[in-house]
Amino acid sequence: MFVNGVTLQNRGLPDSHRLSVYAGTGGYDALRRVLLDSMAPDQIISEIKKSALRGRGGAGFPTGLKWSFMPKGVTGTKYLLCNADEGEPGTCKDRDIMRYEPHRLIEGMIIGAYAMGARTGYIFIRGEFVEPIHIVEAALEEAYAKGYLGQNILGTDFSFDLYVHRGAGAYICGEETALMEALEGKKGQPRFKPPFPASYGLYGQPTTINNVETFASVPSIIAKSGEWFLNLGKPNNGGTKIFSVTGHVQRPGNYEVPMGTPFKELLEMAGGLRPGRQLKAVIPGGTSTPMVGGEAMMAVAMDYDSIAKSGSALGAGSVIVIDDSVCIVRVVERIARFYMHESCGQCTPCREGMGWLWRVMHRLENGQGREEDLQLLLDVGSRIEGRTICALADGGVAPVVSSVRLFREEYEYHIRHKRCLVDGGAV
Amino acid sequence: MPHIEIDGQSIEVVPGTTIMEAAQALGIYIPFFCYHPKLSVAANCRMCLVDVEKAPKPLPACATPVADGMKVATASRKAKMAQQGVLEFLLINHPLDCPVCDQGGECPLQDITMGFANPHSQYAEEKRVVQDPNIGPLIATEMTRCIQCTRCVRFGQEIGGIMELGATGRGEHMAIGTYVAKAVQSELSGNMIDLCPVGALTSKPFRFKARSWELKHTPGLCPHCSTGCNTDVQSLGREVLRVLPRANQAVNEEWICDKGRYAYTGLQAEDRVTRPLLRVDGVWREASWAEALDVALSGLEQVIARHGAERLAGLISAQSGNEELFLFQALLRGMGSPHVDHRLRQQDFRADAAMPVYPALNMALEDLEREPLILLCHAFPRQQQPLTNHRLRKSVLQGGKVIAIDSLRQDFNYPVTQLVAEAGADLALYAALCSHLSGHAGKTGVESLADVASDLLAADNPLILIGSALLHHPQAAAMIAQIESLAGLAGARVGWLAQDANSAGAWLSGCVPHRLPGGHRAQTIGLPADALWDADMRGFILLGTEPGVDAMRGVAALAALQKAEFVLSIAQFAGEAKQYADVILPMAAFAEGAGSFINNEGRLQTFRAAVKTPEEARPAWKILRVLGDGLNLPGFQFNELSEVTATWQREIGEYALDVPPFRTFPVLEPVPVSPHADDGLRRLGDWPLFRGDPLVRRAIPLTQPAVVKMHPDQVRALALQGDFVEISTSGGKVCLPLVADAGIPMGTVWVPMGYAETAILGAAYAACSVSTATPPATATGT
Amino acid sequence: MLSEKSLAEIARERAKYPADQARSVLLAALRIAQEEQGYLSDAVMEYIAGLLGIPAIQVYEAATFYSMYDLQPVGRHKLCVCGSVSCFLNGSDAVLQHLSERLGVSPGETTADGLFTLQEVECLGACKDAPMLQVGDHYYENLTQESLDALLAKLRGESDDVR
Ligand SMILES: Cc1cc2nc3c(=O)[nH]c(=O)nc-3n(C[C@H](O)[C@H](O)[C@H](O)COP(=O)(O)O)c2cc1C
Ligand code: SF4
Ligand code: FES
Repeated sequence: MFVNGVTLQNRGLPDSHRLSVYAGTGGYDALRRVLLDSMAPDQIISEIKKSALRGRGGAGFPTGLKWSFMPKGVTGTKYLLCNADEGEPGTCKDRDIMRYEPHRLIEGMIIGAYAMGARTGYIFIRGEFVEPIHIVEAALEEAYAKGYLGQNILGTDFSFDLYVHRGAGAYICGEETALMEALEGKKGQPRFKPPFPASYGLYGQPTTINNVETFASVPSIIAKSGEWFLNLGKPNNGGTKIFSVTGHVQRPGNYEVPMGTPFKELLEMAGGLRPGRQLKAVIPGGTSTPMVGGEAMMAVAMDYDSIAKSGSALGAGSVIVIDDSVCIVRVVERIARFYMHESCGQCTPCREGMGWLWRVMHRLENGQGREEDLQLLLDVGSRIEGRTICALADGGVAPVVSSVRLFREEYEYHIRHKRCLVDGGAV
Repeated sequence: MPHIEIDGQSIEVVPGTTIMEAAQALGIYIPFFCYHPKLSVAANCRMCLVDVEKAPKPLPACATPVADGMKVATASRKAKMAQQGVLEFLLINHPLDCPVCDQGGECPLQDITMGFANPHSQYAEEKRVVQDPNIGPLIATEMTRCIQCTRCVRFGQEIGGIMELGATGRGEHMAIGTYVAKAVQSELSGNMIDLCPVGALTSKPFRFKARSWELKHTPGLCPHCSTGCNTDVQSLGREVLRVLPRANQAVNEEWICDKGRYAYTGLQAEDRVTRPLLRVDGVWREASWAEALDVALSGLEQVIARHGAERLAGLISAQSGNEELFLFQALLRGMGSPHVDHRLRQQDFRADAAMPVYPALNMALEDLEREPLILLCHAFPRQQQPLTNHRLRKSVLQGGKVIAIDSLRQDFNYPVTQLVAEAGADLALYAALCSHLSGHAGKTGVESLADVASDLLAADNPLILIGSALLHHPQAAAMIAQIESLAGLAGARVGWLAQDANSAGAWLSGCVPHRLPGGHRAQTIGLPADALWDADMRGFILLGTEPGVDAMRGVAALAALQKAEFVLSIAQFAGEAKQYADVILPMAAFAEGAGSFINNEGRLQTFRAAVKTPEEARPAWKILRVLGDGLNLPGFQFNELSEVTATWQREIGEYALDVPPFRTFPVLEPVPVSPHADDGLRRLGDWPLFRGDPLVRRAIPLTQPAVVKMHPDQVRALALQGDFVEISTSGGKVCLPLVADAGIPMGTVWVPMGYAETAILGAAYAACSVSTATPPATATGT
Repeated sequence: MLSEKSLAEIARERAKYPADQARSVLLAALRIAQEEQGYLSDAVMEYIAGLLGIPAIQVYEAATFYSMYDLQPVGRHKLCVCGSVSCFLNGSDAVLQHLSERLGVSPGETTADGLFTLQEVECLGACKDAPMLQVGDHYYENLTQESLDALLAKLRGESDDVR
């Protein structure tokens, strides 16, 4: 199997974050090819389209298509943003790309900027990621020094400036328009769309935003062709994808495997479950995606379309494995707390509903549940879903509603017996 | 153009129209909270969710632009479910304290809840506790009621022009407040109360006074500046309890300023006169109308008999209605006195003959929004005409440019290029700008002047607006003459920012010493107000004015009034009149009488009485009629106000809405500004927002103490210590708190007019000196 | 109000953004001010508002929106224990409890000597190395009771060095 071969290919090398190491493995060759052999912007976009690369930030939007939305011939600066706000529980892949392969990200962004005519870019890194911030900043310096960034890159008339912008602690800034607000020095509150960023983004200018992993996939696609990337995965689900496998596995970690890899194999790679444990449930794409029962999950392949068929989503590829040692009510209560804490507060259903869901979950967990609470959770969830500006609220509803449906008996046990069905708790 | 269908009705709209706008055009109601046509779209309350065919989720009507062929259902099951769901979320943390809430009866949340909600909330958790910030004397906060629609925040940012309220915290901790418990400063702050769709922000002065449905509504006009905002005067019995804006898109849109909103509280002042008062042997006592009129008439007759009518003068407030202004001058002129004026703040009258028939904006207020370049000449509309200022602000937001020339750097709420005259050099600054415009300035000219000159030359027909502070300047006439040349050189139009609600009416009705009603030249030209103080007048009639604080030289005015043999004051408040008057006749105050004003645009607007006059007080026009009658003057035989109005209209005739700016000016002898004292300081001063007339000065919630402002470097240069300073002029001295303000030029000391304690200093622009002082034992303040 | 060094750093950050977008540097300015002064006082927030030419309330809005800003003084070392789901599944509650016992404070509190503030925070993006916590610029991962005790000792030692 083609493992750790695209965005994390150099992870094992010493000093893999240095330009010299990256260059030694063919780094920036793609950029040279683009600029010096004059690959036309349209050609790049069509190559990306061919690759069936889909956004790695969570929504899985086809990247080539997104790039083609960027208007041509506009006055003023066009911006290219990288979303490195990685904050959804279970998600920890972009951090590793930045720590081990910062130049791959930078090269991908430069190519993207060239393809879309962007003049300035920002990498929005969550503020807590101080180590990755320093590594990316050092990498940017190296790239500037080599003439890969700045005025007249590699002697061509293409210029592109790229900076790091630090977040300050707010999951919501991962939502692309909230991120733009935060970049403008405001509270990170998502904007209503339309207008979409391609026409009205950062500072009101045309803007494209992609995830770290998305950009980091670009150099290989350009170097080896879109077709090559597509063939790593499946039609409409091109390439490999990093899965961050966390929770109750023996070797948690980031595993970059071809799209369509069976979950079973991924679980094995991560060392499998701890001895004597049964798989209870899996959250396949980060806490914002619905939970899937353990048994059902064992039959699922890890790509956008297959996971969607199982009623969940691939999300950012953040696979949270939950075994039978823990009570599902406790797990979900913890997840619900996250969304209450992270709601930006502007939309009524999210501001009021996230706290409501958590309070009910909290009561249930503490043995104060009522018979009608399960219906209440579903009702409240249905009144939130699809009624807010951004998808945070939907993400907060998903684990609650899916777990009530899947593990009703555990919830009911809680209500009747005022305690967990599983009393091992965590650890 | 997109064609869409809402609830089966179809409509064609311009591209970019939202579903909400299209629905409103069709008369279809979609519930909403955060949406407001004058504010940016936030789409955060989610109340307006509607069902759009082919859209998987309900969409917010306020933010969703229509698309051709769109089919919208506002009341389908899907839409209703979404709306009910949102409403329930809004209510879970709302206290539902409608019985004790001032918003009750005019609360969209209450109304929508009645119409939509499922009466049984499923919410069984604890409600949120929220702190109520104290944001000053005007707005009461009850933040548990807040639904976080952010209308108030957007108002401050987008309309008020100073962002004071914000939404702090995040998620369910998001709360509306100021930056660390500060009082809201915006002169438009009260509008946030109207915008708040729940009872989170309510009027402090109105608190618990009445339930909204008990109030009587009377269409009114704001008497406090020349914008002429339309108001809705709300009363219960004999008391005015609230003044709210009445929408008139051409004038005030749907706003009023805090002066217009809260000045009514001054009606409760202790010195309100409600019965005629007589001074007998130095002692004041109440009297019957018959007796008081007798004394008044014989007092006037005696002055005329002993000294001639030219020793009698009349001063009237330009807050008076046209009918009163007209009768007032008729009374004075009928008695044979040419001395009638309303311009108590002016010092230099040499331009009188050249002045237009009335100070007109010369354009519609709405059109100000579209002016590409406006030059303000000693005008600070944010303080003098807040809602005219709002139009200027809009022009700037739409890419227009505003340049201001003044004696100090003003605190505009939009970007303005400001040229500030060095102490005393106001006239010189206009002259220098003229030289730049005519290309005679050479290379040495001040850089910013050159820029302003080229801006003016580059603009197509720019607009010059002359403000009231210019008329207060000792060299006003020469400055106007310079502006005339400036306008010629720049190819500019000129308009005036008139000061008072009826300044235009005062001019047109003949309340100036050199013009009769309709602007006709007076045969005998009387003395202007400021000259009366030194002219040995023996009798005065005052109407609605307190010259001790309303006149530029208040102390001189008081002295002249005290020296006079007979003073009749027709007034709402006794106040200072007790120091000099012989008779005080109680007149109707704001909201108690009917009449008409002409605003800055020349727009004639009428108002009705909202409440009865208290006790024996009478509308001023009736008092004037009785006086005229009593003196056997012709032309005072009126029974109804409408008859006065008809006569007034006949006399002033058709007046043009735009008036020719100037007749060519006579060559003027330069008048030096007062020579500087040894330390070279000059006192600047103007009437602050809430000090301009007797009513607003008495509005307790609007009270702000007088302070002295100086440049921080000036404070250092003079080695002033502590929080208080003593200012002295040739008139006297006063001790006041000191505030450092970098907007005040060096060599200048700003002391407000309009306060009894500062009147002693005399006229603005006079020499003064400053020293450190220990604070007075008792706090000052009227 | 702020040191030359901090001002220079703010100026460097400022250069990243277009000339007419001063407000973009707000998050950085707040961070730099907090690094210098330990927390964001009202005075420093007002100062930053002046520096950027924006209303103070906008600074306050941002400062209260983002979780990394402290508007009250905190201990010299802020121990931020991740309590989100992946860490929770791997024993973050036990980490929190252990620290609580060792330091004698509950989450949200600061030790009497002002050395440590203990806090439970949401996901820090190191889920595969759970349980973990952040102190200052550093992540400490795959925590055990032993590694926690060693960490506390190390942090105490550093503070002694400073004294
Ligand atoms: C609440 C919320 C949080 C998000 N957080 C992230 C994030 O941390 N990183 C990210 O890349 N995308 C995140 N997204 C998705 C982004 O909005 C956006 O779709 C993505 O950055 C686009 O990049 P892609 O097309 O490369 O995936 C988030 C979305 C939502 C609604
Ligand atoms: S759904 Fe929640 S997080 Fe998203 S914009 Fe609305 S309030 Fe903010
Ligand atoms: S009125 Fe549309 S979301 Fe509030």
